Amino acid sequence: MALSSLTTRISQSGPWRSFFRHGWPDNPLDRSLTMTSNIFFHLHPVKVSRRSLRWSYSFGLGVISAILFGVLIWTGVLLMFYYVPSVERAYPTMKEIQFSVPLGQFTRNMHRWSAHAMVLMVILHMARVFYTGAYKPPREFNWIVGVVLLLLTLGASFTGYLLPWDQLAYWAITVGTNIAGYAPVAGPPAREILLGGSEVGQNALIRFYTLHIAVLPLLITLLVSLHLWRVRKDGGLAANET
Amino acid sequence: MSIGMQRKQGISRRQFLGWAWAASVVGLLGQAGAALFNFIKPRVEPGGFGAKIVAGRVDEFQPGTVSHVQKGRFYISRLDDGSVLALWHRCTHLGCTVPWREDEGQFHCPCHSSLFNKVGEVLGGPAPRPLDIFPIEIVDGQITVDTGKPISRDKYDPSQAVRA
Repeated sequence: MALSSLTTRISQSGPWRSFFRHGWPDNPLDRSLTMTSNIFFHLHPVKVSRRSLRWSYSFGLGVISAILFGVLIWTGVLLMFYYVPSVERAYPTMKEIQFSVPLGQFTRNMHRWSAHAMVLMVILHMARVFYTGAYKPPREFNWIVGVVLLLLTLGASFTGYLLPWDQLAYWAITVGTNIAGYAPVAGPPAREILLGGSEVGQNALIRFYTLHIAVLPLLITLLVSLHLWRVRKDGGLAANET
Repeated sequence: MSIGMQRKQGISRRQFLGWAWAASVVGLLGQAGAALFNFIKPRVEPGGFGAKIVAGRVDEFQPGTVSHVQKGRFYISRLDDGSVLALWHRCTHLGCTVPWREDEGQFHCPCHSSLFNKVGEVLGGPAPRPLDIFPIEIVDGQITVDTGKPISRDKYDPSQAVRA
């Protein structure tokens, strides 16, 4: 009896009620409020139809991509505690993570494999949306957001590739940025701005690092929020209409 | 009265202020964009690559030899007639560093096997044009190479080599 009166006192208190602005979700109203009054949940539809939950419809590829992005943020932040983006220290600190830091090798491998998997899953997600015709009205805008997210994912993959600062990274980025330089008019200046000079060096390393750990993840986070919110506004998955 | 005057001028005070506001926003964003562009635009470090590099004295390079000047990212190619070419060591295909292979007597790119001869002409591989050259000044027998101004060329011409 004492316990239930205590929980009642807590759940009736001002702070609790300002935080949870709805009752226990055992009725339709409170279930709706649980979703709509939470900044994270409100991106998601309040109700999801059984049809759109069918595994063989979406294969969960978008959700898998989002989870991989979360894994990449988590492991990436952990790697940032040790990695130093300078030409003298990038390679040694990468090796330090692999050989000296407890679970460092595991963390780095998680980051690497999740990155490869995310590129693959995003491409498969795009293919699924295409083959189910889920890009058709009213979802054209979300298709465009998705294309931008694909490019940002590839950008994050490309910028991360330079950071180990080994021979593979160095020459891959040299060749990659030179391919960018072949684009008409905008190619050569885009290449120079990306590299911070005419060749891969310290300027390129710090620019790729900043893009990799700050600019691109922030843009991806912003656009994923927009992407999910648009799914809700466009009436959930296209499975509901077919 | 005032409405008639506005019709005469063709634009109301509200419209004028609206356009003035829009123009100032465009100007603000424009200068912010220009400032950002200048902020991230690469700068050339004096003394390093992109500056004028002293390669050495002419007599240090024997006629018929190719020598790497690492600091300036170029090769000094002294031709048989004694004239001098400064070839950028960057492959014209996709930018890998091209080593001079003494055993092969040619430049051989390790990335995609582009081949160049002593004057930088393409002998094989995917390279679309000869190796880029840098302008050379020879004063009192000393070779100075301006690495800030690489010159791309379609073919080799003897006038590109500087007489020593």
